[in-house]
Amino acid sequence: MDDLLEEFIAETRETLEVLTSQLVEWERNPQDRALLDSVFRFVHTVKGSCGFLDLPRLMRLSHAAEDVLSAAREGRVNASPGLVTAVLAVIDRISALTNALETEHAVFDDDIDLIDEMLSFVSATSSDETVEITTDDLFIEKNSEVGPRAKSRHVRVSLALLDKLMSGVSDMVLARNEVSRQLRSTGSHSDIEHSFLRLSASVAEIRDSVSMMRMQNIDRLFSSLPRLLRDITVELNKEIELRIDGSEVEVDREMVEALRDPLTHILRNAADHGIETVEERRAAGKDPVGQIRINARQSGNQILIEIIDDGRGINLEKLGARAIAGKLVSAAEWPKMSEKAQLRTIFAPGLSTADHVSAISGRGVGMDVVKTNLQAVGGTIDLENYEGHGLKMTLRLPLTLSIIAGLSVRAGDQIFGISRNSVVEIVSSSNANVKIEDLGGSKIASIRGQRYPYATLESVLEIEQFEQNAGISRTLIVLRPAVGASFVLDVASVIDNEELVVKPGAPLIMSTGLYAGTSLPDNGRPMLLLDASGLASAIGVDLREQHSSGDSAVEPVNQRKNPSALLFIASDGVKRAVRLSVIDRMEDVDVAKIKFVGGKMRAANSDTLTDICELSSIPAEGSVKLLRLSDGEQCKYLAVEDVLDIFSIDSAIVPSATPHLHEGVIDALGEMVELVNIFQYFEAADAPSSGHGDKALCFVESDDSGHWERRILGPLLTASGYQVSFDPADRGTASIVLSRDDITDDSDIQDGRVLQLRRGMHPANGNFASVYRYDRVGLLSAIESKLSGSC
Amino acid sequence: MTELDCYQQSSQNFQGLANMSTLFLIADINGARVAIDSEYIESLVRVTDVIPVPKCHPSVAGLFALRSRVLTLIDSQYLITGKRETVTKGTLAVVAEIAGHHFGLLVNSVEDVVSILEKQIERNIDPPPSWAPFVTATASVNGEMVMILDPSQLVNGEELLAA
Repeated sequence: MDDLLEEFIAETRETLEVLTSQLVEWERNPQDRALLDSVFRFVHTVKGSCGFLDLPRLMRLSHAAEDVLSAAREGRVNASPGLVTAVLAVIDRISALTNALETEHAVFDDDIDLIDEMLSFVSATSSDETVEITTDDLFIEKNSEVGPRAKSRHVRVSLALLDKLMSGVSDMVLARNEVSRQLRSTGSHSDIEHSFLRLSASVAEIRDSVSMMRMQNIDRLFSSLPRLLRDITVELNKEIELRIDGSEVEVDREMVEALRDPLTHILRNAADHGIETVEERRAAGKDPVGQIRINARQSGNQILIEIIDDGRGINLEKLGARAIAGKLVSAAEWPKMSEKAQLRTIFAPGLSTADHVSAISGRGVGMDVVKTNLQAVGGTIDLENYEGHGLKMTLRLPLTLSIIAGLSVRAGDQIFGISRNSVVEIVSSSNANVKIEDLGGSKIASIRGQRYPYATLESVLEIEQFEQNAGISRTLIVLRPAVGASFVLDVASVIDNEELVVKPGAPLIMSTGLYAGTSLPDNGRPMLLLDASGLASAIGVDLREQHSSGDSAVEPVNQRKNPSALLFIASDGVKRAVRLSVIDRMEDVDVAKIKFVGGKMRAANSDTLTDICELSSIPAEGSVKLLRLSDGEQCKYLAVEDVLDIFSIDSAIVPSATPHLHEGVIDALGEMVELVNIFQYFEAADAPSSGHGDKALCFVESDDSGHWERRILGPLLTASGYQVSFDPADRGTASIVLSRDDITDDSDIQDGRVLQLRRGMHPANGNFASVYRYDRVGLLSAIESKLSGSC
Repeated sequence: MTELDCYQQSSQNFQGLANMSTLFLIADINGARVAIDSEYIESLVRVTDVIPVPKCHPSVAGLFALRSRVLTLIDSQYLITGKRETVTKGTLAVVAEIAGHHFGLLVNSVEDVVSILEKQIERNIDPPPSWAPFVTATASVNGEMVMILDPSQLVNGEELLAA
């Protein structure tokens, strides 16, 4: 019985979630049969289950709702907004009672009022109740068949079980790593190694699918919004249209929960403060119906959610007055702040621009909570204000909560993790471009002339510096927290770059404000994950400073005219530089993934092969440092010995004697180095694939056997970037027709597309238009000229 | 009668049943005998490797790994005496799930698992003041006094920080 009840609660809740958006839709289109049907189906199901489970209150409510809805289905009642409101009230009560079944808090029993209200719509119009019951039933049956519930191949699994599976898989990964370590130390047999690799691969696969299991459609988050907005608009007497795009985006299920409150807040704010009343909108010459758009999309490893309204936007003057009144900024400072910084004060606690406190929003708690909630899941929020025309908020969220790309760093004798998302750059403290300056006791780091607040991680955490490390150069990490100014964190060293499984920390740990959670890396020792925003506030990068230095820290970087370059030691041991703009990132690639195949060094990366330039031999073991270069379309790896620094190309570029190899010679931090010409790597790129945008179709005419054509000619053409067909049906559409001169008809010669191939080196029969079939260069250039001639 | 009334009744019944046979783990913290409701307890472990948590409340002895989970180790002694226990290799900890998080509660030793009945609760005896915030009741078990701990108080960060 308990199981059945739980099942009932879960199912009812799930259906309700889907239903809420449909209800609002239905109110707008009362004539929409499909919507009416699905609402009807819901109450019908509830009624059925209630009778079975003996839940009299739910039974009465659903029964009454069913009556009304079936009347609406038959057209006996008009589905007016009033009726919808009454039905919504009943459905709300059903939902409240369902929740109460679980929480065991009683719900006040005025069900009969709700039912009466709803039934009044029916009795008012149902003058003729002479409909035959038999046909009525038939009608319903038939209709349920017309709109069948999509059969879903899903199983409901408890979250606890899912979490258990997840932790089981993490255990497995740890065990695998342990075995791998032991295999390495004992110098194992190749058979064992082979089996172990297979095991590894399948473990990785399971881990991936378990993470996928945690993914949920973001629609779960959005489905409640239309209903929410409807209730707000009714209360505020505004007309607002909500459009939601991108419901198919998948996010981690914990993210869905974490986003629910912030998104609700933002939507409320937009409807209450953003969208004007109908009169105001008319006066401003706008469409009286306000628009709120919510777009969700995935971009790289981020989820972007945009909330755009066409309301009045934020009045900066008013905001300033409030901020000054709330003592968040001084009256003198406000005008000096950039617009962006001014806008950001809305995230300060205790600030509201609403003139009146309404039941919905305007109590000054809201945006700061939104920001905090977003930060808790590693997200950020951006604002674009168009005063008088609307406001656009962009929420950026990491794809998953559970696994982040992390950097492990050492401070004292302890290792900490930090999310790579907040890391802007990493430099060595011994770098000539780095200076630590003292400013009245507090320290400021200056990197390439750019100044940042600075602190060592040891001093922030109040732990001792490990003595063994004294005197060795340390590492500076430039961090940009979710909101606010960049700052420099000085750590003993950066250890590794790894995928970290994030586990929430206990409240006692989270209350320090310094940590984002905990993690268990491969070595099996727990690790604390640092929270960039928490560190920032611990260092004293306060709100005010955020406004003034937040932008100045970013803008000069963008304003710098001179391009930057990366100084590295090339694989031949010579220092060279490469333009930073072409570098995607640096990767350490395991030698096992590198092979000399097809005349080039290549690195296997999941299922693609990428060429490696400047790598003459593969080291026996370990990994190779590779710079990933990109021209926007293609990628190449450039093998390097080591990466030294980033500098800006301030001096003139002195021409090189070998311009195809080196763009020129430049001054890199006081040394003359060659600036690598990237063109050479991409120039040597697969010429065929860049030959024609659309692959030209070559029809090859062959006799019955056609061995030569199929075995020799076909592959040559394919490798040169042509599409090849041996099917006579394609002849008509082909751009080129290749045929042997001994099987060509005379009529073909008239066809401009025909290229004849001959067996002999020298043309027989005086047919000079033909090409010797083993003259590869001649053949390809003949095709090329035919193609360009025909264009 | 509504169905909700039914549920309340049945849940009361359940609680009545539970009260009759709740098992408690008897452990020793700083020389005092305490009882911990077995409902919270998952296992007993010897902690080998503890990672300190800098700048955290001193009642947090650190983090340790148990299988693939990261647990927070609570220095129970600190809460009572204000003195931090030195965590040595192999220290005994009670693994408990409290408010959705997993904790290890440091104990000096464990004695037994016993059932404590309602009638064994000594209503007249108050625990000493240093223990009072963490103890729900005192009871007599096998002729000796034990304090029944409220584990959620041991890990309640906010109130501790406010104190």
